[in-house]
Amino acid sequence: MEENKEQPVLDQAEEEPGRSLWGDALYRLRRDKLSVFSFTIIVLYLIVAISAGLGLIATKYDDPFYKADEWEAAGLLKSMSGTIEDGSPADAAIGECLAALDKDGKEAMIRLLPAAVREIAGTGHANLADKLKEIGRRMESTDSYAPPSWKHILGTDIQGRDVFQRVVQGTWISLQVALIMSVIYIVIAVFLGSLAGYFGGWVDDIIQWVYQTLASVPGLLLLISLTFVLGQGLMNVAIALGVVGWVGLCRLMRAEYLKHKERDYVLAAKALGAGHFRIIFRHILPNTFHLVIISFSLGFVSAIMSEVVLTFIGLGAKADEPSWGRMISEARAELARDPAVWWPLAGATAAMFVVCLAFNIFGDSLRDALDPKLKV
Amino acid sequence: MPTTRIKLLQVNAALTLLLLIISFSGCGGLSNPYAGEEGLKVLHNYVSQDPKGLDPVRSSDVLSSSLVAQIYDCLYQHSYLERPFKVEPCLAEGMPEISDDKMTYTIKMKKGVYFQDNPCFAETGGKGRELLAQDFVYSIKRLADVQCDTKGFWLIEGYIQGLDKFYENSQDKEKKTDYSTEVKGLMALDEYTIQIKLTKPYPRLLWVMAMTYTAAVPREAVEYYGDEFINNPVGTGPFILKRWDHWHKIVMDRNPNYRDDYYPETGDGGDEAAGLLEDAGKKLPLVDRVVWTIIKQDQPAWLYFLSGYIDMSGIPKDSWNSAMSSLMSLSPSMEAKGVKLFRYRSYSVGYTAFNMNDELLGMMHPERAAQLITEKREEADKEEDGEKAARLRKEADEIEAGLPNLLEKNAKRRKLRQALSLAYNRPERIEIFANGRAERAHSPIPPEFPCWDPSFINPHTEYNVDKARRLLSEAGYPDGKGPDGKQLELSFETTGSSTTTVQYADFFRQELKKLGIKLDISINTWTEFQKKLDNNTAQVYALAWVADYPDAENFLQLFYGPSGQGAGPNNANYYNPEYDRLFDKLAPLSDFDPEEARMKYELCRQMEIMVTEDCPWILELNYFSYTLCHKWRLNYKPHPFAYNTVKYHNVDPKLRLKLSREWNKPTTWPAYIFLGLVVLLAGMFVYKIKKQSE
Amino acid sequence: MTAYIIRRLVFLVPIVFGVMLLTFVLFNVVTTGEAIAKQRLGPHADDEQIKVFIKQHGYDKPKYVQFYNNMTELITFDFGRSEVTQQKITSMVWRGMWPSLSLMLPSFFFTLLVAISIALFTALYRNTWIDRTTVVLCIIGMSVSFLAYIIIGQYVLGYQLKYFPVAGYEWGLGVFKFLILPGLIYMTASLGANVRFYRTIVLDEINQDYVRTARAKGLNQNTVLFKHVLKNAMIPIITRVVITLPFLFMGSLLLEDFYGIPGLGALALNAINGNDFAVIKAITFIGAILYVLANLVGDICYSLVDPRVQLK
Repeated sequence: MEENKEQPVLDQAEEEPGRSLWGDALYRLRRDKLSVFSFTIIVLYLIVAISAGLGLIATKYDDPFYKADEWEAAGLLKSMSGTIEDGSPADAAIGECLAALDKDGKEAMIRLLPAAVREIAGTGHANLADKLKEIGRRMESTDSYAPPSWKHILGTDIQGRDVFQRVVQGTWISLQVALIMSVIYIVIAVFLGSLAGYFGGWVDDIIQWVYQTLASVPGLLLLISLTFVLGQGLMNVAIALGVVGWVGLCRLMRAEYLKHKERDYVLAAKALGAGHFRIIFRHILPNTFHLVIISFSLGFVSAIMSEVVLTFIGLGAKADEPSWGRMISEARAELARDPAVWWPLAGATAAMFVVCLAFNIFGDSLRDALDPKLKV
Repeated sequence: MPTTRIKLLQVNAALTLLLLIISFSGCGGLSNPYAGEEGLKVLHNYVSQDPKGLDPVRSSDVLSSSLVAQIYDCLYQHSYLERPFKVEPCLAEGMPEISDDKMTYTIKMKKGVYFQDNPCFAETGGKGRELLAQDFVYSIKRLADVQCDTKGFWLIEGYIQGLDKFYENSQDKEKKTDYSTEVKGLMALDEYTIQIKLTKPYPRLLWVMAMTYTAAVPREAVEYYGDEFINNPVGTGPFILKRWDHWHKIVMDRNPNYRDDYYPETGDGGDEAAGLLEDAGKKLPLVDRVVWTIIKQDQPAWLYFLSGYIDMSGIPKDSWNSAMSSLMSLSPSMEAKGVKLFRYRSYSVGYTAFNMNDELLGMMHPERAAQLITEKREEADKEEDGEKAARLRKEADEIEAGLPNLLEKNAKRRKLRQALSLAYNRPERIEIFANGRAERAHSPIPPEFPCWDPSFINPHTEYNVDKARRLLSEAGYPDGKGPDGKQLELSFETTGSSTTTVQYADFFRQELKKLGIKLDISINTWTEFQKKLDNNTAQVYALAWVADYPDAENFLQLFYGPSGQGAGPNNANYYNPEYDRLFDKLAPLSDFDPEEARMKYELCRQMEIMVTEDCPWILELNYFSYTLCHKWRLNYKPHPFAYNTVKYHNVDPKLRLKLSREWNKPTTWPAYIFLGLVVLLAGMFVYKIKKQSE
Repeated sequence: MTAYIIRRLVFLVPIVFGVMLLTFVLFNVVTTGEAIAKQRLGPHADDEQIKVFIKQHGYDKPKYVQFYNNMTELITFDFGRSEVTQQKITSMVWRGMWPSLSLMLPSFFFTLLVAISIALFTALYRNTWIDRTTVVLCIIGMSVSFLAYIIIGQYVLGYQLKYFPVAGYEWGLGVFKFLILPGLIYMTASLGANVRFYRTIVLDEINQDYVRTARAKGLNQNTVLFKHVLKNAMIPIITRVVITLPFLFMGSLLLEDFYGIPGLGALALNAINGNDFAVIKAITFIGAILYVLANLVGDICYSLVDPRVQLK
């Protein structure tokens, strides 16, 4: 991204050691603050995504939250037991509730609450009984569309689920989709591209025909047809993206292989008796691999964006898969509410934005860094 | 001076300016989507989907019926203003002559009613010909013709002499249905007299004759248009289809051939005060044109309503707060706009059905089992195809093998269904999805409907997770785990027509998660959903039923055994011969005879208990309908059964134009700021160029 | 020249054949008749029903017979009828084409103009903060989902500020006000990628030797920029424009859905919602053919504009 201002080297005290393409690239990348920053973000993203996938964080993404939780209730009960006579049935009831909470959890306590309310009301503390009843009611009432607060940084969705956790879970889903797609398309592209470039002739003609045909169908339409045909679900989206997206990289690989196959080192390898496939994969491929990496980085963005669009149309994620696409597609109705519910849209869009920006910048920097024309 | 550069700048500037001028011209009227309506009285309605054809015999859903009813007329129609609901003559001349045994109806038709002009009337050179009795014979035969893809035959199945045979014959897809075959129960005595002969008394016949299914369709149109008939309706109604841009809009114009039809002179108690009799005695329709815009999503439709571009609207759940300040009163902004609120019972019930044929969830009544065994064996004996016969016999054997465990199995599965119903969080849904404007449903018969029992409480529609868990255990799935230790998995079908239906389904998934049951949601397109229902291949699915006429039978027949298996609207395929016997007793009883009505009431109670105990449905909610109507849209009175009511509506176009202009003034300051920025940047550009030229 | 054209047309044939094969594989092979039946009928369908369905739709005939039928239909542009509305698909496509074009053509060309202007602008200011900021803004623009642009745009500009109708369409001259909002959204969303692309092209040209020579000879920066660079940059620009044109026919699915424009994109979307295989097949095929033709035209234009290009 940065343009290297080349300084004339008039006197050199020492000769700098030569560097490989990669070494050069790394050097340049390290110096570019923006690309370092975006790389950090990418690493963070990967860590978050994998942790979410392993169930280490954001585990409650599918659990509804309620307007009051059991701790609030326990607190209230404890404070009430101070006011209530010791040994009275009301006090016993309170004790039972608290014990049930400790032993069996929230549901058990909720079951015993109505009895406690009755007992307390019986002792004449009507307002306390009401308070308890109210808390009981709130514990069963989902906190639907709660705006962002300390409890939920990004608020809750219609089912009372924490939006922030869903966004985090969405990273894992996006990672899955992007990875699967990448594996599929990279394998196909490298394989076909290298064959086409290296062998030329009729092999090249056929492969060119294949990808030209594929490229002829408008991308989105092809994706839609495929997912339509494969059915709903994120895995199908990933597969479709992979099957559709190999054309670009394939073209690049083909061009590279065309260039490289006439190079000296290839001729040397041939002279030494190396077989075709050995040459393709062991000799030439490492020299062209940088293209794969750049493509992978930029392809990530395309994977995420495409999933969003497909889910919106109704062909992508299923109802219970918390992908960013799903959150954005539900946002449409939510924005029109009064008051507007903007936090799921904001969360998903922001997350997508940060990740895509990082990958875009990094991919760009990588491309610039690996551009041999800029070698000193 | 480099000319290209200047040219580029100039072109850019000019285009931007042009755009802005176009944008801001007609300030306020800019966002008005309607043009070219000066001098006409036009109603602006909207629908949320493109109807799949405008053929009366296919108008099984509310959307199609609302459109078909403006173009096609029936023998009878609902009285618009009078309550309690009753039926009055439309194309018929007076009420029918009913024989003493109640089996023969002789209906005289109005004379001088003409079809709309249409090229299909080749003989009269495109001018509509007169409507004759034969047309109704033809139209009702169509209702019994499988090849017309009829959706309404179940309403008259088994009632009209000879028509069932006609229906059966039409199932032979090799031959085109022959309409010249005589149907004894459906005869045209002369050009203006129709005679219907029944096989058994049918007290609801007149209601049926008021439904769009039985509207008059000219044979010429069907033959002329063939496959395209569903896109080219030709009727005798108050409006004609002027234009149908699929998925965009439908325009109907006043039918110049429309008969003499007048606005009612008398109404119900409060009608005069409400101004509903202002147009009494005037010739119908009162307006020149109706435009139905198709808006798929709720929000743009709501915004259109707020802006005054659409005359009437419901209240989407997400917009509740901007429309209402409480359950009964409008918000201040609505009041300021002069919007009228109509709140009324929607005689409908939302439910989640269990496919009673399903292995996991269903029910096989012992009587029915015995019936099936004999039926299948008999059919196998008659069957020529060896493979098919063997299969039938195998099925019969399987049922027989299951007989000893049958009662226990039924009991367990019943508990499972009841458990699922108890886990359904109705209070929450009323809050979140219905903004509080619904109630827990107790019975398939909706509140305030004939034969409704206000004291009946359905123990299974309570929200009680504890009880649900207990029943689930007793059903053999403690904590949701079956006898093999695996989690119980159910598949749920719904349509994905809006985010709301998807959210609804996801709620259900959460509710079942609490019980430890996994719910697999499948979002279908409407066509897929229909097919799954027709072919009986869904397991758990969400539906609703809107009353066709004010008779409890309309809801009770949804559980009638023979109406299942895709043959009728018994989508849950509930088959209980005990229930069917009660139903058969109830069917011929009329609401208008006090003795029969009393018997009917008693039977309803018994059937209600049977159905709520067996729980083939999760009865969900009974809704209140809220309709908002703008100040300039006149004569609206909600009628739950009549769809042909647009002809009574009136509009004040001047008021509409004035108010919508007022409400839609754009906020201009952001645009000016933006423009300012653009000018600044352009200035920098020019400056830089000038500097470099020096 | 004509020989070139004829040769290219000949090469078109295998591509068109390939497209037909692709659509066939997609709709008849990847999803077998059985899978379609299961999808339509639901997971609990029994064999009998599946068999009937397959027979009804002709999936039981041998594959090559199906393909042959497919091909003949496509060649004659007889796409049959929509499974949902029963209309002739050819007329549906014809009707849907115009709204899509009316939205996309002006939007596209306007975007083109603005993007090129900005690209030239940043070329003038290259290596300054203006240039760098522009690039960063572009990348930011490219990192936001198209959907987000649409949703927010409709909400803010249509609903809050009430500048434009929220959705809708009109046949005839009154159509402009309905196109502005979607057009603006399209422009904003695609500006990022476009500006970057044109900037790269312009910068590539500027770095060429002949530019340095011209400057050395004393020619004014602007003359050089606008007279020479722009002209040479036109080549890749034109190529790109020509290739993008067929996609304008398709319209933008999302834009048309949100803004209620009854074009081909909306047609495709409704076909998806209605499970209308026939329509989707037809649109996929049409899109491909248009692209192939556009490529041909693009190549020819290219050869006309650049004398260096050898017509092989």
